[in-house]
Amino acid sequence: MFGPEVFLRLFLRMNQVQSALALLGCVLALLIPWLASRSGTTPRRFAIALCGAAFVLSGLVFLIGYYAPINWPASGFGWAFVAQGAMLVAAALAMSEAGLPECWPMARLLIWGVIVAVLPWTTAYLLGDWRGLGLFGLAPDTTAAASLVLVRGLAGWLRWVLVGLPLIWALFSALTYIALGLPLLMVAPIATVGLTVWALWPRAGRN
Amino acid sequence: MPLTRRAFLAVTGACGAGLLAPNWLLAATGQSVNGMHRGVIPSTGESIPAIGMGTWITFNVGGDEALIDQRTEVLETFLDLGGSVIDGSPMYGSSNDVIGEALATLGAHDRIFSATKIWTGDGSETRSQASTSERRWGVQGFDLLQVHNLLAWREHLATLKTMKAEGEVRYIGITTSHGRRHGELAGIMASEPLDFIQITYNLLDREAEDTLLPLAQERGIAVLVNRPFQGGNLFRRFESEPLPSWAGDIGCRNWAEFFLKFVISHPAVTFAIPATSKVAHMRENMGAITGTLPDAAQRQRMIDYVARL
Repeated sequence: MFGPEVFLRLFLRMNQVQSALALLGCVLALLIPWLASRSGTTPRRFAIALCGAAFVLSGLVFLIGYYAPINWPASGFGWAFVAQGAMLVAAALAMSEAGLPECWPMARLLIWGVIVAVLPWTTAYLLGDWRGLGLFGLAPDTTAAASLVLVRGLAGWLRWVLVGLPLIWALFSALTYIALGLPLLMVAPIATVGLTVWALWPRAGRN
Repeated sequence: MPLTRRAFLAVTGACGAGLLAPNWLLAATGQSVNGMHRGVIPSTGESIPAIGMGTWITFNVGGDEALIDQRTEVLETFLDLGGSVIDGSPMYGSSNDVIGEALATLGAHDRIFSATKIWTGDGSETRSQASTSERRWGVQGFDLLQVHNLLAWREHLATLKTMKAEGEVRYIGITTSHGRRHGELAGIMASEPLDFIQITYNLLDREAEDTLLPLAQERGIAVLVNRPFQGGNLFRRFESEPLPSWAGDIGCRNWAEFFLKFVISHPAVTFAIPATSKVAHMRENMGAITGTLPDAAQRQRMIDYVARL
């Protein structure tokens, strides 16, 4: 186990040292919804693939690179994030045109925007330093929660497979934040559970 | 009658022995030596300062250089104020590595009593894990190796006994915490040649008084106490309350000294290992290593006082 200060400083240290990747995360957070709302199939495939890239980054950089040295289960989760990312990239490449998600409606864009804009500030607020933002593409909470917006648009068994890791991660995070005494961070796992239910909720015309 | 040289020498020798005897006797019973409370390890008679340093959570800071520097200051304060025992475990994340870095920075490997644990379910990995920990601490062998939380204790203890016989470790022991598996530990204490046990004992968690502490005294086993502050809970509960008016009678200037002196004043306890990440708190903890210790009546008074809060 570790202390709250050590945990929160992970985000500060990562953003400082990996500033280029932090910037990339911000670009991905803007690019994915833009691509997902395009009418062509290629942009929407790119959106899925870039979401996969975000999972790979988060797994390798944050979970394995920064978190695992103080919390050994993070290493396993890191590789799980990498596998989730690979699965999304494979889906983007192999998915039939009929299987691609439809263009994102405004509601989905707004939900994505709220997640990637608000969740990162929980760690920064607790740390008292904006450089501790838990950014999409690096912070696993933000990455996992936001990915569910994309999963909502998918059909069939792939939806069920892709919600598994975010849900398990949310449970692990929740238990960690309770142990650390950081209730504000519970926003992310609670949001992830809600988004999971929403992502799996039957949609009119698509299963 | 004139004073003969023989008589003079006899009287002088008697006076000298009388002056030295209290320290020698006190050392044998684990009390104050030169103003510092020291615990005596029954199996060898070696005495160690009665307040050590735990590293659970506090030293698990990963590769955070700023926090490693800060923890090095904590360790430096500990050593400068007379501390010696450092207790770690592979279970504590990066703590072993941070301890090693701090010791290297301070050049303090020869100033410590090094204690770590064997924490693996694979009974064949005892030596391998001990060796890894040695590398991380930068030490050539540990003073004390303990089986962590009774995990695979039969296999590990057998290997540790061999390692001790071969001179690879000075002391061996077994740990538990949070009051868990006391019955099983008592059975091991009754049948195995342990130098140490490590248990949880504090003002609120006193189950060990029933069996383990008396058994340790009876078997000549040193007692290392973890969670003397109940993981910080004692401060959360009582820090806002005033110390009792008689706290000065037992040499307590703050709650840290109150909690720690209760622990180390038990006749069976050898030393306690509070953990902290702050220099100021380390100073408070080390304050318990000097001054008056409560006697049995005062210990009961301490128990009654916190029970009423």
